[in-house]
Amino acid sequence: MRQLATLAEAVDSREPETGLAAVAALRTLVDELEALHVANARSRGWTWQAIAERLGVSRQSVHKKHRRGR
Amino acid sequence: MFDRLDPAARDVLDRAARQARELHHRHVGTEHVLLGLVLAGGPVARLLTDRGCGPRDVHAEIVNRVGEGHPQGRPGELLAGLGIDLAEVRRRAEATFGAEAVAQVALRPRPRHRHWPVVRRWWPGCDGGRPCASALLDTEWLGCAPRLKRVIDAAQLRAAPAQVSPAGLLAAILDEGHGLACRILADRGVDLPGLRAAVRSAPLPGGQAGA
Repeated sequence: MRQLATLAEAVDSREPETGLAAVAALRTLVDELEALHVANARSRGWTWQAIAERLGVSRQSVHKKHRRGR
Repeated sequence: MFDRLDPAARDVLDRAARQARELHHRHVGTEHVLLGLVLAGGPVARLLTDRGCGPRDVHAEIVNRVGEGHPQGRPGELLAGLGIDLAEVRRRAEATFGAEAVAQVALRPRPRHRHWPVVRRWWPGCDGGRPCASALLDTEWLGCAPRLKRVIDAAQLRAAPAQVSPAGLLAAILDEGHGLACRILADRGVDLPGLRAAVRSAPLPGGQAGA
């Protein structure tokens, strides 16, 4: 807990530990936001192709990542 | 994966997960379950405590072998360091898509290790049923080590159609035989075949001692 208290100041220092953890958290956040927006687009009838173009990735990869069920 | 556990066994896994979190470990392994078994009390805990494996002993052994992890901080704190106001991001996401959709997305399984099963929201150790890893919901990840998954699966198979009791968990850990829990027990001088026989024969509530 005491370490947590100092964490906030440590983040913007050059400490790799916190810096890397922060980047990992950011990546998770981006993934979750992406999933939200893709689900929204799909529910509005967008095709995988159209979604993939906006995200700048291939149709296959966006489908593989976001399709429902398996 | 955890659907055929009786309430006592769920309590054991709950304690195991809580201990893993307190040690800042990123996964739950057989060693945490051993600690959970001892902490949960009851006949199984007594079997272990009588053999010199009390809660303190097991905890000390785990710290000795695995050490304590680093407190990583919650995603919100980490993102604040990057200048991102997570609360605001979440507020906007919920305003746009609804709180339900946000929770749905956050619940999607996302293992850090490709072969590690994701601990889903009904893992007893999740904070009040919240998912274990979500940046949006500001929760941390807790995995289930592959060996522990095998052990639990084996226990469920053996107990079927009944539910797994804590004794069944211990029996499965002993039968698997290579986990950190077994090494801790062996190094504390516990006679593993003897303990296995005691688990099998002890008149344990819930029947299905794992024979």
